[in-house]
Amino acid sequence: MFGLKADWSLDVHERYFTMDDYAGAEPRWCTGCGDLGILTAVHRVCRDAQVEPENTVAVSGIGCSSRLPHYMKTYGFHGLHGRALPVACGIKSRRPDLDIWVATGDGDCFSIGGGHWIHSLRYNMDLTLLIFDNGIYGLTKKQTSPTTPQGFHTNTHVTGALLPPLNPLTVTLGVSNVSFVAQTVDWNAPLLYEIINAAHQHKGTSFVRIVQRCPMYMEQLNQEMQDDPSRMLLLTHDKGVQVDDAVVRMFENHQEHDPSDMAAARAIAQDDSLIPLGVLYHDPDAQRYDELTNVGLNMPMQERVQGLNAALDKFAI
Amino acid sequence: MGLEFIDGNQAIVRGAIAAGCCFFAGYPITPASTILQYMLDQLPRSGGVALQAEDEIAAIGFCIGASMAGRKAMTATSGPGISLYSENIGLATIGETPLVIVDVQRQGPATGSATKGAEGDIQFSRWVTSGGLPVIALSPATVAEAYELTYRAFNFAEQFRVPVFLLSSKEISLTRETVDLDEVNLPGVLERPRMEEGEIYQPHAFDRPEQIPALSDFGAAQVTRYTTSTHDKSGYLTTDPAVIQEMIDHYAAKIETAVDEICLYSEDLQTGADQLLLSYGVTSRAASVAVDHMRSAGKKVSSLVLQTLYPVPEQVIRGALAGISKVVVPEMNMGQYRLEIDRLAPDGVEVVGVNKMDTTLISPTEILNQGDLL
Repeated sequence: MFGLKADWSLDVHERYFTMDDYAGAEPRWCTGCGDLGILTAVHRVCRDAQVEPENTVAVSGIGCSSRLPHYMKTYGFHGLHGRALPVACGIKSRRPDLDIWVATGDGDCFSIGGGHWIHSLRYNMDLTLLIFDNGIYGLTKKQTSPTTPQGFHTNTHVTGALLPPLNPLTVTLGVSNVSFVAQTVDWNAPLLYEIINAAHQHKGTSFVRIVQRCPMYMEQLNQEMQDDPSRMLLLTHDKGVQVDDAVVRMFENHQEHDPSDMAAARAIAQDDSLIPLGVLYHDPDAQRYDELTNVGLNMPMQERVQGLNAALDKFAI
Repeated sequence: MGLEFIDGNQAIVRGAIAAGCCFFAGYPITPASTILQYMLDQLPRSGGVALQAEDEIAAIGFCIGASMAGRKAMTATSGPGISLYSENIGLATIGETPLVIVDVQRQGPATGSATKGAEGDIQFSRWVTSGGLPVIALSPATVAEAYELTYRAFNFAEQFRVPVFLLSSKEISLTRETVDLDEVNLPGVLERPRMEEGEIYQPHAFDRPEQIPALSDFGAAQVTRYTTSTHDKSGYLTTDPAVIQEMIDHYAAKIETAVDEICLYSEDLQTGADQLLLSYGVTSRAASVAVDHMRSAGKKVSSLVLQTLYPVPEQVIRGALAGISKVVVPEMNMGQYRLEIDRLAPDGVEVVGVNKMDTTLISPTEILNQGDLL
C-alpha cells in the first residue's frame, strides 16, 4: 500500500520537555540577583539536552546558590554547608545513569568546602559543578568570602578585606586529573548558556566558575565590571565554546586558546589583570573515579554470591 | 559605661573582653555572626586578635593554638558549627586547654531554621565529643546575664583548664535590652595556673586527681608539648591502662569536685509550695511570668532558674524539690534537661515537661496550661 513499510512513523519523541518542566518553586532570590540567570541557563541546557527530570539530580550546600534544588523540578538535595560534593559523588557512584548538577558558592565551595573541592576535582566523577561566585557571603549578610576583593568593605572587615582574594582558577588547574575548567559571567546569557552546555556535555567533573552579581552587597563593584567589558578576555578556539559574532564583539580582548594546553591555561589563570571567559582546560580522557569503582554495579546475583564466598574463604579454618 | 541598649551578642563580646579575652576566631553563621563581626571590630582596638576562619574546624583550631600560646580565647557559632567543633572540643578536653565556646542556639537539627530560635543543644553540649567527659555549660536568660556568664565562663575555663560552653540562643543574642554593665556584679579575673621557671615541667601534673596542673604557655620559658593521644602527666604518649585511667579520672574529678563552686542559679522558693517551675535560658522569663500569675491567683509555687546546666547542680535541684509533688520543666526542645530532673526527683514527684521546637517561644500561658498549674 503506497510502498510504505508497515512500521513507518515520524520520529516524534513521546515526551518533549519544555523549560517549565524543569522549573520548580518560584525563585526567592533578590531582584537582579545573578542566580536567576544561571537558573534559566540550567533550565535551557536541560531542555536542549532533553534530559529526563526523573533522571536528573540537583545537589547543593548552603548559601544563596544552594537554594537552586528547590527551583528545579528534578530530584533535589539541599545539604549541609560545604558538603554538596561528597553527596553528589555518593549519588554518582551508585547511580551513574543519573545526570548530576552541583550548585555551590564561593563560601560553600572555596572556604568551608575547600577540602572536598580539591578532592572532588581529582575524583573527576561525572558532575556539572557550578560555582555561583559573587565574592561575598550573601545569605548571612555581607561577610568576607575567599574571593572578596582586597580592600572591599564587609561586615567582618569593615576597613576592607585584608588579603588578596583566592584565585579559584589557579587552584583548580593545579589539581591532578582535573578535566574541565571554565569561567563565565552571569550577565552574558549566550556565553553563560554555551559554557554551561559544554560543561554539561563533558564526561567528568566540569568546573564552571560563574562570576556573579550580588545587587544587595556588591552592587557598585558588579556594575563597574558589567559596564566595562575591557576587563574581560574572551577565550576562543575550535575546541572551546562557540558563540555568535555579536557576542564576540562585546569583548575588546580576545585570545585564541587551545583548551588542551594546560600550561597556557595556567598562564591565563595566573594573570589577574583580565578576567578570562571561556574554556580554560578540557581533557575528555581524564580518569574517572566513578567509572573505576563501579565495575560491579550490574553484577548478577549468582556472581555476587560467588564473589562474597571467595572473599570469606580466607576466614575459613 | 552607664545605660546602653545592646543585644546579647554585644554583651557576650563585652563580657569576654572584660574577662581578658584577647583572641577570637569564628566563621559566619546566623545567629552568631555578629559576635564575629563585633569581635573583628572591637578586639583589635583593645590589643587582641580576631580572625575570620575558613570554616568552624579552623576557627576552634585557631583558638586552641592561641590558648596554648597563653591567650584567653573564644569562638562562637550555632548548632551546625558545634557539630564541626566536636573533635577539637575533645582535643581541648584531653589537652586541658582553657577555651570559651559560645553556642548561639537555633532551631535544628542540621541547618534547621537558621534565623529562628530553639534551645536544642543542651544535652549536645554535655555529650559533644567522644569519651563523654564532663564539661561546664552556662545558660544566660538576659542580655545582662550574657555579659556576666561569658565573663564567668572565662574564669572557669582558666581555673579548671577546660572548654566552657556559653549556651545562648537566638532570642537572647539578637534581642536588645537596656542594661548597665557596670551594675553587673563580677568576681575578679582569674588566670590559669602557670609554671614557675626552672621547675621540671609536667603539663598534666597533679597529686590529687582534682588538682589543676600548671601550664607553661608555648613561647614561655618552659618548653612543653601537647598531644591529642592518651598521655601521662609529662604529656608523653602512653598505653599503660593504669596511667590512662588516672588521667581520665583527673579530667572528670576537676569538674565534679568543684560543682558547688561552678553552680550558678537563682531560686525563689515559697514556703508550703508543692509545685516547682524549673527553667533556664530564655524560657525562664516566661516561667517567671507564670510564677507571678500563679501567686496572684493564690497558688503557692517555687521557682528555680539554672544558669549552670553542667555540671548538673544536683544538690540545688534536690533542695528545691523538697516538699514538692510536681515539677514543671519548660524547654525549647523535646525534654532534654528534664532527663536530669527525672533522675533526681524522688519517687512520687511528678515531672512534667512543656516542650516545643516549632521556632516560637514558649509563652507563660502555655506553661500554665500544659503544666496544669492553675
